Amino acid sequence: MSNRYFIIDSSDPNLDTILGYSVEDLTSVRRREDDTKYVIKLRNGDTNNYPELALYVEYNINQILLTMNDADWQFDLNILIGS
Amino acid sequence: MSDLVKKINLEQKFANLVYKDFQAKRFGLTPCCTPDVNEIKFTKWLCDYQDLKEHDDALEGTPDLDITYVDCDAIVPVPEPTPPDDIPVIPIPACQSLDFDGVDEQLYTSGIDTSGYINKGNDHTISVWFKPLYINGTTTFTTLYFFNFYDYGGGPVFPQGFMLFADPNNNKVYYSMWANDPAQYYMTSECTFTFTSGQWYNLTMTSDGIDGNNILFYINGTQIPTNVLSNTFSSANTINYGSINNFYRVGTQWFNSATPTRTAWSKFVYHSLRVWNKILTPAEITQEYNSGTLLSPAVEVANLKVQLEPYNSIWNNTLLRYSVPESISPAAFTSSNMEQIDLVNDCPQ
Repeated sequence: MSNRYFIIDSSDPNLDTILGYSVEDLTSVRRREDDTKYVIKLRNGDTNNYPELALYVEYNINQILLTMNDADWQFDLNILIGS
Repeated sequence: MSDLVKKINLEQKFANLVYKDFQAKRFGLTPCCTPDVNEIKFTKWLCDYQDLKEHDDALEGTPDLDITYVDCDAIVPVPEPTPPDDIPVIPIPACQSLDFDGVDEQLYTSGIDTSGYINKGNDHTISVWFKPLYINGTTTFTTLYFFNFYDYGGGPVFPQGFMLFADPNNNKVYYSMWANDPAQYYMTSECTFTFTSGQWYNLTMTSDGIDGNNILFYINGTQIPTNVLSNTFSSANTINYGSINNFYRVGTQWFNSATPTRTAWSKFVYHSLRVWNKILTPAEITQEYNSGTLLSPAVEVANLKVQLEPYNSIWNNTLLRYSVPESISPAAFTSSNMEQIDLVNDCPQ
C-alpha cells in the first residue's frame, strides 16, 4: 500500500499529535517556503483515519508532488549557482 | 507379498486401530469389535525390531569399494587470500537501489571528510549511477541532488561547500563549489543534457577544484560541453568542513537548523556513488561506465576515497531508518523518512 500525504497548517493546535503519526519528526518534515505548511507522511500500511487529519485533503505521491510544484515549495536554484 | 508391502499393511492396520480406539473413547462406543490397541502396539514394535534386525543381518559389504579413512583433526584449513593493505576490497554489489520519493527522503552523514580532495585546488572526480523518475512523464518539479556538502551559513555568513546536482526543468547539470571567507566565492559550471524518466544514467564530473573551465561532465561515458557560470573561486580560503551544519547529503540540499527542510528534494532511484582524489581520464570514465552494475573493480582503486553503497543498505527496524554503508572510510549514511520498501530490486545493467 502506498504512503498517504497531508498538507497541514504549521499552526495546527494538534501539531504534536499529528507529528506522532508521521514517519519521523518536525526536524525532517517537508516545509513550505513561508513555513506556514508542513507535509505529513503516513507510513506505508497506515490506514487509520486519525481525527486530527479529518479536515485535511489526503494526497497520493503523484498528487502531492504536483501540488508542491510551485515557488511556494521549491527552492530558487539561482542561489546555488551564483547567478 | 514383499516385506515392504507387509510393513505398509501393518502401519495402516495400526493407524486404523488407533482411530477406532479414539472414536470409541470419544463417542462412548463399546470396544466390542476393536482389539486392544496396546496389544497391537506391542506387536508392531516387535515387528519393527525384527525388520531392523533382519535388515542389518542381511547387510553385505559393497564389492570393489575402497574406503579411505580421513583423520579430520589432521586437516589444516587453507587461509583466505589477503589483499595488500593499500588496496580496498570492492565486493560485487547486489542489484538493489534506493528509491527517493521527491517529498522528504534523503541520505546524510557526517562520518566522512572530503576536505583533503573536494576542496579548493584539489583534483577530484565524482561519479553516480541514478535513474530519474518524473511524474506523468514530465520534468515538472524535481531537482536531482546527487552529492553535496552545503553549509547554508545562516544569513551573515555565506554558504560554503560543494554540490553536484541537475535541474531537469531546464535540462541542466551543475557542479558548484563555494568558499565563504572573507566574502563569497563561487565556481559553478553547467552542461546541457535531457534525461529521460525511467532510464539509468552514469554521471561523472571531474574538477581541479579551482577553475570552472576545467570542470568536465560525462554522461554514460560521453563528455558533454561545459559552460562556465561563475568563476571567482580564487580566494586563499578553503571550504571549512568542520562547520556547524556539516552534513553530506544525497537526495536534498541542506538541513539547516533554522530552516530544516525548506528546499527541493529528489525523485530518483539511486544506485551508487564513487569519489576519487584525482581526475579520471576519459578512458577510465568509459571503463567505469561500461562496468555497469558490477562496478568492480574500480579504476584507480588506490585513489578511491568514497564509495557509497545504497545497494547494501540495512534496515533498522527500531529506528525505522536505513544504514547505507560507505565502504572506503568506512562510514555509514543514514536515511531520513524512508520506508523499508524503498530498497528496490533495480540497478543499472
